[in-house]
Amino acid sequence: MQAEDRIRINLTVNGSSVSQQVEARRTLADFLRYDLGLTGTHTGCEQGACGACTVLLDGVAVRSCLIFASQLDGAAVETVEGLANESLHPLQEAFHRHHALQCGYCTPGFLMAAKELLTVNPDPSETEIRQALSGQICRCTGYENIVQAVREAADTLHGAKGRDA
Amino acid sequence: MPSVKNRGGIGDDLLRLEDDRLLKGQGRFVGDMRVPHVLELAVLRSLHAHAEIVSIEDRGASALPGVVHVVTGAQLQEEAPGLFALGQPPLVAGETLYVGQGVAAALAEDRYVAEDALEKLFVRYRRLPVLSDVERIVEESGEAAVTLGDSVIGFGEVEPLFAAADIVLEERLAIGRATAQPLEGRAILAMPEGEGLLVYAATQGPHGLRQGLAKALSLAPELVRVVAQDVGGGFGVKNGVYPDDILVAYLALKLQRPVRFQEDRREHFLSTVHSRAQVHRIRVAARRDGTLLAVDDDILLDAGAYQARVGYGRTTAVTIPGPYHLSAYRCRIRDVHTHKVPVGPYRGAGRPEGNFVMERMLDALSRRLGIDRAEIRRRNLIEPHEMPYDTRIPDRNGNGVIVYDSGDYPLALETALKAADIETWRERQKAPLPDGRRIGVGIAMFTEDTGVAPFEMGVVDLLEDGRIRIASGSPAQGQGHETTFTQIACSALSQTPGQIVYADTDTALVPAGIGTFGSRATVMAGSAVHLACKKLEDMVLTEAGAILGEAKERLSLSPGRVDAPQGGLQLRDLAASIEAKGEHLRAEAVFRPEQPTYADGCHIAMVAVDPLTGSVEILKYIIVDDCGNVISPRLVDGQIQGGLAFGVAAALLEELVYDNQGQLLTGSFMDYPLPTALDVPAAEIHHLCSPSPRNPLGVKGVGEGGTVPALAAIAGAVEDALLPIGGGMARQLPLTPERVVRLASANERQ
Repeated sequence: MQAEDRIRINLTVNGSSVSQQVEARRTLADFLRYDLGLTGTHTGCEQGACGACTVLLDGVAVRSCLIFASQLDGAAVETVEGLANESLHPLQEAFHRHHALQCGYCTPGFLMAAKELLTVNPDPSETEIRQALSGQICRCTGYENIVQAVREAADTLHGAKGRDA
Repeated sequence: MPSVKNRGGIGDDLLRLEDDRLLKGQGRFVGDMRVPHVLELAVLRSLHAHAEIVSIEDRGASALPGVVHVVTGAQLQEEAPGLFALGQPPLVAGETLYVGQGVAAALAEDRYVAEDALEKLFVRYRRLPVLSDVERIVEESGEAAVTLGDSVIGFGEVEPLFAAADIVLEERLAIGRATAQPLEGRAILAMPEGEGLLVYAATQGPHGLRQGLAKALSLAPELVRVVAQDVGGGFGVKNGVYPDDILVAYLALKLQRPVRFQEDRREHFLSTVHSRAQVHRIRVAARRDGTLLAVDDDILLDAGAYQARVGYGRTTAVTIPGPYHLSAYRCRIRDVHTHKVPVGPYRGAGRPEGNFVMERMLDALSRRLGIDRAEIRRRNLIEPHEMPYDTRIPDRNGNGVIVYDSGDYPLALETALKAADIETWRERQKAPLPDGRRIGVGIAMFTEDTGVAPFEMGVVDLLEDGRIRIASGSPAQGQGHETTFTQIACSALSQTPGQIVYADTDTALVPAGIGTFGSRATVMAGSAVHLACKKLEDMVLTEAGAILGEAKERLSLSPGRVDAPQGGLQLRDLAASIEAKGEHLRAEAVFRPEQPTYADGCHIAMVAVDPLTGSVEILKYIIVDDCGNVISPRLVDGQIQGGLAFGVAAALLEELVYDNQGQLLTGSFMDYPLPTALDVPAAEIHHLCSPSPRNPLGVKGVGEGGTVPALAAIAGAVEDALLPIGGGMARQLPLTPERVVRLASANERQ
């Protein structure tokens, strides 16, 4: 692949500016993992079906295996590495407290999908959580603890205004 | 919020110790490793199930910029015939035996480029006849059908009991071919080190992988070091040695460069072992009062193209009798050769299938005799006063008989019935729901051999800083061994979790090991770690006694300390003085039990079935589980709830469908539906505790108990829902919507 086949993109990833030349065919997932070294985003199927590679693109949850990095000039990407600052994000904390991860391979995707959910719907019911996360596959946990964790994180993030308190 | 205690010993509700890095995206999976100059391997896989490879032409593959090496099966066989001596070859040189088998490979620094190279290889195939359907194969060839295994196990004489029985039932029952699909595919990285290799692998058994690679490459085993770090799920299939593993190791040695293979999802469907895939012809003999007399089963297992590394058909056979009295038992298992991906163990490893057929036959007997499903089980259960119970079933190695160690099966049943409030459900199911759906209740009991042989080793070190490092031959793939084994060490050594350092399984640290599968890690490796800790305790107290001038019997451990009647010693000071002498305290222990432990339990499923659309909703799910003493309560419940997801999948969703030319028709997540958050109910979990007398911790395995009886419980519930409207017997899994609709209108006469 020659340099002229590459496309320069300027974007922000977890708030930091990134300027790189990428091959047109390089997926966002591979760009994050191999070009930027952000290996927290995992690929599970590379067919857009399992959700493991979910990241936020301008605040919207997307499958990073189905998007080319070359499409992202000017975009803002958030990955699992951007969630925690000094301490864990309330979602990460809740996943820990509720034993909502086992092997942890799908967890970054779940965290990002849940983050989008709680932005769009700060006070979701259990059914709404299950529906919102039904595009994410977890093979280990059987989901229940993930649902409980997201529900708790909603309470933490938005005070004690739970629907039925 | 759940209440949390953080003391850290056995039975404490400890939060997981391994979570932090995984939550932050700092996991150490094989694909996450940054390795300078690593070559990524891509494998060209056969398009045909059975074909002769006439030729492979390189139409520019090797010449592509960035491609470092291209090799075909024929070239590999010529340059390294030794690689072809064992079982499945690393690449096919002559005939392909299933779609997905490797025929050539390319290496490049970028996987994209390696895959570009594969597109420039032109393979000419000559197609050959394909074996696909096991029943047809046996029907056409009879005893001449090619099998990769054929055995009979049992005890007593079944025929006289069938001849004299009041009732004989015979059924054909089938469980579809399935695949594990851990979200991380297989992954292996081999790096040249001295004359040998350092291998990082997503494996359940590092020592077995080391043995296999060393044998294939004719290296001394100590020249191959295998390390398992974070592994993204295993469920049985990341064990043993795959052809791609041998290829990676060979090419790393040959080129003297790091080589990595990361399986993609399509490859997982087409090259990682499949499982289940059984057809049973089962007969049951019983008395009119429901007493079981004998069972006779004939299993055809669709074994695929190569001999299974672990023949799980035999595990199915020894699981069938379960918690029930039988006077005689016979089971024939034939692993029938087909042109499909080879099979191997997968969550339950043959046990869910055995449990399914036995529990289904009990339901059939219940229906025939008009005896309630719970009552017919109650009448046949082994009683607690009969423990240890000699089942007379030959064990899987054929060396002895299976003797159940402990358990209270009637209590498991009654506890589940009470928790389910079954009478209320029986009342509710008399009328359809307002939307026309019917309610059904299914019950299944199980016993499961857990902690299978032969041994496991624990290695425990007193580190220079006074902390204690624990290691074993059983790596984790999500089960949480760091937490569970730390709790075991905390109890054995009177420490807190901060004093314990958990080490990944590394063949350089742990001299021998078997691995993590068959609900064995806590039983086997947990016990080995416990025994090694006890040895280390003795060594530490002896050393401390010498320094303090006290008899070791008067000393004891507390967190970070050795306590003496007067004063004592910090562990870090003790460690420093030992290191200063140029010595080091390490304890190794091997745990090698005579027999496995036997976990048991009962599942009850309440479902709503739509007879028109075939949709099934699980309304409530009760699990009573007896895994003996519980080390890590929330991890045990996590295993059970996670295991249930596999049971739901096998009962309702997952099936690999092949056409008669051996082409896989369900080769992606779009047509092989995995359970989502909308499919798996929250199990209501109840624990009984019958400690096992066969290990120092009193534990039994729990990794598969959530799965094993779920197939039968859910199938039984679906059948139960449809009986009042003329539904038939649920004989075939998965119960896809299409099968449920057909079941609803079966109009079977009893």
